[in-house]
Amino acid sequence: MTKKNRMTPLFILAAIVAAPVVFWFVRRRAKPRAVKENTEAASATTSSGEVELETSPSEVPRPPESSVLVAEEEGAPAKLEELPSETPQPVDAAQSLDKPESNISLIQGDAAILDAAHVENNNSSVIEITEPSVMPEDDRPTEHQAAAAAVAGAEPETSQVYTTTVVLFPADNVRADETEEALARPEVKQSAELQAGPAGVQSEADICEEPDGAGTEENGPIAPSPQVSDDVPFLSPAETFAGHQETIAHDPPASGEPETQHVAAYTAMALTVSPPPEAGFAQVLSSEIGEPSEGDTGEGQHLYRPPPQRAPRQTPRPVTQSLSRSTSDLALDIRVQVRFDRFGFCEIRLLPERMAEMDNEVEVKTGGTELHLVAQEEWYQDLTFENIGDRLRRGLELKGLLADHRRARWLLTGRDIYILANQQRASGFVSTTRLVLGRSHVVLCAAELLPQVEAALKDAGCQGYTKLDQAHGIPSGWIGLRGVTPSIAVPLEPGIDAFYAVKPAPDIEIEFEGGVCLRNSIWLAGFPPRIKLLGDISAPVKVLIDGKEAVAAGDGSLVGDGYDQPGQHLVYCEGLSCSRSYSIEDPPDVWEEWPAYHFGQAEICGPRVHILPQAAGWRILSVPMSNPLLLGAEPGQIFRCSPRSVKNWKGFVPFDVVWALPAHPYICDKKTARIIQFAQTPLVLPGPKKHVLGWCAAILEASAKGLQIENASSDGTVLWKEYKKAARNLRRAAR
Amino acid sequence: MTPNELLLWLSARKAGSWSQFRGAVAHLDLASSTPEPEEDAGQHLHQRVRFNLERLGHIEFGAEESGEGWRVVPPTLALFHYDGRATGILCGARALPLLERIERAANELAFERVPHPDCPDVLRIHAPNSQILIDLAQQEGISCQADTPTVLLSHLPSVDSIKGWNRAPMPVAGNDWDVEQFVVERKTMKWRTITLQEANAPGVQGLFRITRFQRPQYFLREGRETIKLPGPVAKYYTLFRLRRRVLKYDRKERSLTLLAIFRPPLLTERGLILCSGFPPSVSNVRGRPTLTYRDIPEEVAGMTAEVLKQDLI
Repeated sequence: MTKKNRMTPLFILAAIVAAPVVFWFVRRRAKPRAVKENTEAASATTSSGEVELETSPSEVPRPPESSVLVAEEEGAPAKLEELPSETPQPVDAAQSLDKPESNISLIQGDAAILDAAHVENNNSSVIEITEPSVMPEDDRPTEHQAAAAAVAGAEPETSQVYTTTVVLFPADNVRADETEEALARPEVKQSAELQAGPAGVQSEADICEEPDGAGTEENGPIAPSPQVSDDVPFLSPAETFAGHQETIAHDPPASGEPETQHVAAYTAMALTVSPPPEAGFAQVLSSEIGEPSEGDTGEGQHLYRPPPQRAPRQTPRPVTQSLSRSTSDLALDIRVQVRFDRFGFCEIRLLPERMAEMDNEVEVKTGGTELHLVAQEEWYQDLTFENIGDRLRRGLELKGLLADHRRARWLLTGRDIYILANQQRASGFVSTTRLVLGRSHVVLCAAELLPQVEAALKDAGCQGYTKLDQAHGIPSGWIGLRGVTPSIAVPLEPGIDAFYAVKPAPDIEIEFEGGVCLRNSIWLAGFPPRIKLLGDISAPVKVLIDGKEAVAAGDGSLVGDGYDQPGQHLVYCEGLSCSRSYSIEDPPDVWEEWPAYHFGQAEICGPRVHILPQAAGWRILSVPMSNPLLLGAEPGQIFRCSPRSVKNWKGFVPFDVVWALPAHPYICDKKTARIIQFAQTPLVLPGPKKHVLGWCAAILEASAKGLQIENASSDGTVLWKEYKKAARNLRRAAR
Repeated sequence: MTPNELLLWLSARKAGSWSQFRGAVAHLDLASSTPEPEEDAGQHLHQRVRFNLERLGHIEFGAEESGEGWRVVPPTLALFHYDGRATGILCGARALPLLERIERAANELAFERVPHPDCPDVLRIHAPNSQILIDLAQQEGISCQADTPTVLLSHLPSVDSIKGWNRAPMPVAGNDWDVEQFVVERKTMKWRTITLQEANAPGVQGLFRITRFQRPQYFLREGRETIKLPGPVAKYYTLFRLRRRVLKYDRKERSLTLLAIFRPPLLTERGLILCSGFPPSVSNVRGRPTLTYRDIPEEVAGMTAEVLKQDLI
């Protein structure tokens, strides 16, 4: 038997003996793998659930680049499968990015980058933290996290908790150095680029979700379209703030996360970043303004956008950052204005709001377009857009920098129903929250919603309104309803009522209309406001003006004794907590004179010309153009009228004119030319005048020519001879 | 708010900023607005109203004393005398009690209130002679300006007095500028679009209009100098240098007619308007918008021509 033959039975025997061991080993390996797979699947489910919570109207905003959904959909479980068993390995950030299967890729976007950097710096294991530990009672995770842990079973993945933590508390400046370091790596950049995109957009949408179930903004319901909640422009300041409150509500406890150092550190970091709660909502907006993205075109801001190929942000834009920002940045509304011309044709414009201290002129950008806003008192100049229909649906965002370096952002949230009513601060109809009983409105609604809107209006008792379409200036895809005056209060549906705006409340309001409002609540005497009562007044309401019962006037307004007299007035409804005050002011009766323009020796203001003292001797004279050479009684007083192609010259002359001669007495036509006498002023004895030769020459030339005096009298002829004699003497003396 | 109420509002406020004015105009009732001539086409309502208030001598804008904003002119009776009859036009601030007093005082005279688009009602009082109106103004405590058109026009510098205007370079770069050159070729006078580079090219002469955000600026390049000056002054200076006549005076109708693109400078136009109290009427002559000022005495037409360095056609 050869050696080979002898060894064969030994191999067989060894194989038989080893088989159970190998089977046990393989089975032993397969078990944790299955557990991991299950855990990962559960993790995905749990995370999805969290995302849903986060994207629900009342939920937590996410940082722009934290693409949790993408991370989970792109096969995180598969990546885990290839991890080298339970053995924790130090993970290098670059490495993790080079290998998409690495555990780091579970978390994407800036959060992932941050994570990678964090891991790199700490050089500690992420994956070794796979089991939750008992934590203090007060430090337990939030309800959502607890639910996630329950779904995940006995092994809530660190990554899952980690993701949640990042979502709620993305790293801010605390980790900025690490972030920037990670961003500096090309691999990281690539990763960030790949990870930016829809999820990033959605994360912004999360920020601007409605804070509560009311489903309404100031001007009606949020459009039900998914696009509506897809972008920042849908975020009103109030909503942002409310959303932030939600963020706080869902914050994990300070040290309540897993027992591992890594997660604990992260949580602690997040808490460090958390700003004081008193910061305002405007700061959220300022962060958006502060980092205008290249891809922000202003068009279709609410629509899905493919991932822009752009450089990653140098700093993340965490929601929590908002709380630590300066409150000086401004967030303002854009209202919709509808004005009708005398033919009933309407024009829809957008009115950016203005606060008193803001610049008179602001250059703003909406996407790639630059606009110049010029101030009115309480608004900036109304804006017109060719595609106003799209603007109404999708909203508009304007960003600008004020002279004092504050950033301002104006926002029109897109929607499908707009309610507009008269307003004291602007002409025409201006967008408002919802219908008010007894007030005449214009309703703009998307054409497809018309049946539902009309049904709601019918419930509200609106009758006799007119429909407006494109022929009346309404943009395509929209319908206008003019003269909508509800008379019945309509209760809202439970939860979010999409037609909130067209369902008036029964609340009673006192409204001031018309008149000449000088400022705020002050009206000009003679032009008092019309006082109207709006709301459900089916039950008798006693209205008092300055304590005296008001009565209805012919136009439906309320008047009372002395309600239009100068002074302060108070209007209130007896038994109701409803009151308003106004005052009437007399106009001034004195206006000071003031110089608007200075020209030579005159000051002009309006039609008034104030001639300065040095020109007080000038007087108006009208003289035929045939005799433009004017002479005064004093030698040297000579004035030549400017040539004009008119019959008579009229203007100011600096002395009292005695004679008017032809322009060139010596070469004029003797038959027609004449001397015109204006006054019988005797000759003034010549003083030490210098420029008398012109005066002398004119007289002597006219005399030599033998011109006759047109309106000659006996005295006139004598006077002329005196003048002639004086001229001759003066010329002789001058020689 | 109507233009009448707007003037009451402005009078009560006395002075204010441009933004306050714009805000007030935003409340105007547009029911009576009419289309404007080509030169004013595209002007916002607040611009049209502003110019009308200025031309009629109610409000002054951007004057030295009023800063960047506006200030109301004290109530003034602007008189003119023609054909043995005197007429007073009420300009400047208005208040309801004041109007009532004047109307009462003018009870024995012919008191006229004529509405006009985009401006307050024109209030005129006719009397046999100016002295009656002067007395009336004195009695009511308002200013009075005798022979207003003549006095006003007599004190205006002519358009060739350009030495007082600022020497300022034209913008050399920028994307938002609309650049045009005023071109006079035979019987055609128009604005031709050019580039900023062409306008700044060495040796180029003429009048240029550079518009940004609907705000035109006018630059006159003459010799080695570039002068920034008001558009109407610049246009008439150019016409003067080219010896082009654009003012047509009808002695029979006593009307002065000119193309809308040659609207006179503000104070010159005010002088013309205060001959009647009414802004010019707009008509189309051979497809071109034309302005006609009515009730213009020949002397006043002559004075206007002199200020604008024109010869009447």
